[in-house]
Amino acid sequence: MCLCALVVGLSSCRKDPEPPEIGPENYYIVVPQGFPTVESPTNNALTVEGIELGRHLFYEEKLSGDNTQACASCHFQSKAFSDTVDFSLGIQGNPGLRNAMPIFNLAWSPTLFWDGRAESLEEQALFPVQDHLEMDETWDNVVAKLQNTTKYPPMFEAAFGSPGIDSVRASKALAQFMRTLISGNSPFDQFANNGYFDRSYLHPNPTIANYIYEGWQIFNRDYAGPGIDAGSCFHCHTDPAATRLTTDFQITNNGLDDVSADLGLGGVAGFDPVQDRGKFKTPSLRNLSYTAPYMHDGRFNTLEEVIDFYADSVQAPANLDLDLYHGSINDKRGAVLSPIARYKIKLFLESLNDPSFVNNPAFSDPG
Amino acid sequence: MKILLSLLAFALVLSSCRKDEPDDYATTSKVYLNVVHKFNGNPLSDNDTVVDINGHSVFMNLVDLKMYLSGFSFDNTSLDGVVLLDANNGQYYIGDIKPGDYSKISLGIGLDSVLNASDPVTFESAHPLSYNQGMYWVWATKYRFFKVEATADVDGNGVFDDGIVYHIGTNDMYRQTEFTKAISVESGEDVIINLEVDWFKFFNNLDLSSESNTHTVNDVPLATKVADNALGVLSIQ
Repeated sequence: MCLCALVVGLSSCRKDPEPPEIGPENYYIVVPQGFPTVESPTNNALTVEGIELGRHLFYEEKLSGDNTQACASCHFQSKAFSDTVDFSLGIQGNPGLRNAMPIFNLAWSPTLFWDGRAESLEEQALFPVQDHLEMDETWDNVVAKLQNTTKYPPMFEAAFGSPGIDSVRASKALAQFMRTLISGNSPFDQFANNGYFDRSYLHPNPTIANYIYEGWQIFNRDYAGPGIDAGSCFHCHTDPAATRLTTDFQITNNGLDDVSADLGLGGVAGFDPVQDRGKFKTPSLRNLSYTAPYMHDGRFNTLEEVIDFYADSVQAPANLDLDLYHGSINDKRGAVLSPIARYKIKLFLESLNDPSFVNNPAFSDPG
Repeated sequence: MKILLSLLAFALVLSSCRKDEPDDYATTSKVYLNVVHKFNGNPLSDNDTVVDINGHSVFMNLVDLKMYLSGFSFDNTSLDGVVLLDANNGQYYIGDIKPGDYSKISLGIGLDSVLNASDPVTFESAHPLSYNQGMYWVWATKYRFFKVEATADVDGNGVFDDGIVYHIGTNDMYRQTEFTKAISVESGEDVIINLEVDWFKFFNNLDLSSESNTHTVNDVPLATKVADNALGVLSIQ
């Protein structure tokens, strides 16, 4: 009798099984060794369903006015999500104003676009759809088109826990997908992850591995006088051994032109068209073998041209980044690089390529 | 009598169990630095500034100013705050202090060797030591302690064609200074320290025609002069 009562008592204390949790499943980015932690916005936490929706939207041609262009039309995975041409053509056949930037490691970037006009991936994702030189569509039309499919309404509901499609949700999903595009598995990463000792991680050929190593040293060397190889690159493209991101995220004038035709940051509301003219965001130096052409206007087709520019041709705009000259602007600007040093720096830069990123099936067209 | 003794012993036990620390901790005061920036005694402006340097009028356009302060202490009590100043006036929390009378404030310009060995990727992006602050140099040389960047017309030709870049770092360039200052800290009341930073004093006794550029390792003598000048840049009001 007592036993029965005890069983009844225990039974009455037992909680009913929790109903199965309904809603999107949290997703946690695996941050590569040596990278900073990722800080996702609190109002757009990563979820498995949100990322998958963003991936589908990234490859969705219904985002453009004539249903022929997706984000991926100008941001090819095989090119580290950049384009092959200097200026991508929009749906009207007109070129854009700047080179399509590669998309990776943007989870750490405080600003987006060459001129830094967007401060979050969520904000950035809204622009290209509405740009007349790009996808030339309204978000109202995009929402109507997505709503009129059998595919997207359930995907949005799964991603956000309730029915409904709108531009904010679409931008959040796109931002989630782009936040997962992380590249951190280059030969240099493997060299760094293993303590910077074994140069065979840089390249199997010892001679080339040594050149890469020396290129890294020159990359990090500051101006030390005429004739001494010094890239001074690290000032803006932070030493990959320090943060792995290879950019300081600053927006500066790197002396491409005496007077830049493109206002850059100077064209962004709140900035000075004179003092901020020609200022552009410092890009990452990862995956450069995939992201040609280079600079905001795609003016350089090869890495050799880029390195030659910094060694020989930096111009003297009034707002030139001060790290690019060695005293008087009229004396000398840019890097000091002998021919062999240029070759070593190129090899070092190529050691930051990450083939596993451009071939990662998780980022490819879901079909 | 037995009962009385037992009660006394019990009271003693209770009394001995009480910790003093929580009360002291509860009454500590928060310490803030209230920073005002100057240039040659005038309010700091990023517009063209005319200054007299070693007898010459120099037009100067300040571009980028940043400086770490750390190693704070009141007499012998350390505060663990790290502050990254830029050109904006502002208030910075630097730690907690117990009530009492203090007579001396010490601080470091830059980062001591322990802080300088920090890994910038381990801090949240808004932290002063984060990779995101643009102050981390390279793996070998760690953090820049301060940056003074300007363009100037040193030769008076009407063109701002002289770049002034002082990027000072490495452990040898860490400088510590102290100020005599009577401070009475009342229980639980915030303490505000008014700090004035006169960036012009970085240029003291420098010949800008030849001493305009150092990233420390490429010109250690000049970096040492600029680091020493940093000691005159700060004043407690």
